[in-house]
Amino acid sequence: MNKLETSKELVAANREQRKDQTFPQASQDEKDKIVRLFHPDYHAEGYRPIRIGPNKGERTVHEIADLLESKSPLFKEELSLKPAHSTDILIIGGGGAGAAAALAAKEAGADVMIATKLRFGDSNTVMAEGGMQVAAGKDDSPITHFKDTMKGGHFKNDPLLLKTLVEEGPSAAQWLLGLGISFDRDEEGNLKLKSGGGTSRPRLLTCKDYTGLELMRTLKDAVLNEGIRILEFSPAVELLSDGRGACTGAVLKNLDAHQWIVVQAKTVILATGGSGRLHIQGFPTSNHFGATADGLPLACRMGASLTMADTFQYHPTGVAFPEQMAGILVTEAIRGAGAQLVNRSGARFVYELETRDFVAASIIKECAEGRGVETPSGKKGVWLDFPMVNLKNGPDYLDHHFPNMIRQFSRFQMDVRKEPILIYPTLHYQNGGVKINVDGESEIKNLFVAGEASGGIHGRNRLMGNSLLDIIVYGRRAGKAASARAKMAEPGNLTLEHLDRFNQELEKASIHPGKTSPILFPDYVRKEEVTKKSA
Amino acid sequence: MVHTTIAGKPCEVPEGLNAIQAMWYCGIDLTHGIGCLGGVCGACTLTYQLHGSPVKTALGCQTQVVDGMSFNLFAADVKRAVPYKTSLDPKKAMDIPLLKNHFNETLSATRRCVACGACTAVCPQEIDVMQGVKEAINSDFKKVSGLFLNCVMCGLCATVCEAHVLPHLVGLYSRKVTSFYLTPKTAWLEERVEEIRSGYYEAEMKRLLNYSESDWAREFAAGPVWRSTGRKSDQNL
Repeated sequence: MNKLETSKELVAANREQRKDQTFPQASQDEKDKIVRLFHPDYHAEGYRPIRIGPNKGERTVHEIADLLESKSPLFKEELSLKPAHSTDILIIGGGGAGAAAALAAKEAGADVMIATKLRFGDSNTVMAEGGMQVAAGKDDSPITHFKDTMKGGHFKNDPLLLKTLVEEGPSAAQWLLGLGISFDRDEEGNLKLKSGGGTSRPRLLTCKDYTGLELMRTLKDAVLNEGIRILEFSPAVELLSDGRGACTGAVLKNLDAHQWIVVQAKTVILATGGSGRLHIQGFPTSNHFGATADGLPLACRMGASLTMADTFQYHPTGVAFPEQMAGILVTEAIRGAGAQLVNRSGARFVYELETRDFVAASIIKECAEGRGVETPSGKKGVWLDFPMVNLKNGPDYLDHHFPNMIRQFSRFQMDVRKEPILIYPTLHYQNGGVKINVDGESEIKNLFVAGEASGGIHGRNRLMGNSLLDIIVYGRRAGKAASARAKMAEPGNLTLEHLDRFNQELEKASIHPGKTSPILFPDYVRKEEVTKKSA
Repeated sequence: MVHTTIAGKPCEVPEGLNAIQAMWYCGIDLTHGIGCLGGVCGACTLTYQLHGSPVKTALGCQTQVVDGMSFNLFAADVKRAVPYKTSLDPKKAMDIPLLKNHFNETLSATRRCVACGACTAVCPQEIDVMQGVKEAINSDFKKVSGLFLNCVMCGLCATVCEAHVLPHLVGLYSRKVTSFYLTPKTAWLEERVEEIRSGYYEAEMKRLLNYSESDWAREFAAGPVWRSTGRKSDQNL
């Protein structure tokens, strides 16, 4: 029997014993200490100061700094800026934030167009499992939601942005129910609420463990029925400005025809999502294939500043084994339902419902200090003891509440009803992003940002379920505000003047980037000639 | 190493890759037929075959490549939204007979189902699709809603349907009407929305907006006050 199997038996052997064991929560001092020592956000070698642009001198990870210090792909193009399309609002990104923005903008009477890199809806939103935080419980309130989120974000959240987020939570849920979303409900029709890490009350609206899928299906259906124009396989590679500092459109790349598409827009909403596929500090990721932080270099080249672009969420429980699923998320709700984290010898080492940054740091510590389990390929992880959930809640609980988890693992011959899963933190969410105001507008006039691409709402650590709320509340706010702005504006001149300024800055800082940004896709293709004939 | 054939080209790949990883290993760069990589977006539908066995369908990111497997990307390009001819009136209560009429008008091809079972056979999510179509014809939208919980809207079912039924949209339609018309309203939520709109929490929120980091630390250390909702009944905590 290999080491992995031996350890798995230890976990099974003491499961009954662990069932009613309580594990103490750590003191704030203890938490701060472990997070500083083991959380990747505090790993100095991973960071460097940004050398140019609105955030010059601030630190961020090398992977993001590289994007911000790269040239535009249009830097040597002789490009006609004659628009192929003209619209009131151009929304860049086809996930939840983009879809919510499109619906709000359309409702406000604007002409809307969505441009997206993959297909409309293929996004991080669709992958969300655990739920959406809304203070809907009887013993809950926006005040409690506000406090929990502040605490989770280490009190660095922009309080005004957060106030709006929590206050508009219940009406956002109402809006989604109006579109026909199926949240889990009780017999009386009220919302069933689940707990998550850092929530002092049950506050998660769920659709089993398919919450994001249900949300995206519903939004997609609504957007397509509104007849909103959608350009798929057309990511943005550069924004356009009027030469006086306002945003007036974007240049897209048609991935099929390999041509540039110039879009003139009175307002632009960046809803480009996160950055997991940059594999910051070498971490695996739970993100979709196109999560390459495209919005950040675009906004910065226009002159919009970022906020807290140095902090990322490493979700504690990404799959470490089997390899085919490496990085894939195991929802936090599984810990909410009683699953425990245990080390090589079957011992618990952290209270499972602490905030994500502390739990992730604790797992990294456990592995760094030799108490982790090694996978066949030499990676490390600790056990997430799935079967405990059924032991605590009854034999069918996993089947009823986590069908997605059971299905995904069964495809690789693992039965989570019977065996624990090896996990390790996975790069999950970009806590910071482009700085916005409560209308979702960046520091650049007529450039709005919504969803994961924006920053400030979640402080330095996002709580579970606040991101799905963020995309709805701020997607809609951006859509509404952009629509109001478009009504007052005429289509602007289309120039790339901001690139001249940006290139001069590069020159002055003696930066000679070999690469361009956005990168659009990660590069996983093996480089050697490999397809040798077997016959 | 395992032997596989990708779009007709024989390749050798390490054991333990999924179909998408195998394509990367074999030098294939993908921008289409790839999406979330987590089994929920439905972009990476493919057909595969094992040593002359019948052709099967699956999601590429969820398919382990084994020795002797051949596969091809197979993008289903079908309608992704329910073609509502007349939208449902959110203000009106809709019962089953009214919904039945609306459903028949909206997804009229559904009744042409010949019960061949192709949709069920092709579903990568193991949904009993045909059963769902049948239940929808019988207007049991609640049951259909449950059956289609894990539908990723890949559209393979509609692609193979000879009667031009759009089963994935039958599922979506049923989920929407079940939640909207066939479930009691969320009373608490309505109350909370009203409470917030009335400005009930404004004063407390204003106080919190002015907090410094040390104020927060102090409040947190104070324990029970932390759990206060800001409602009057909680003031004495």
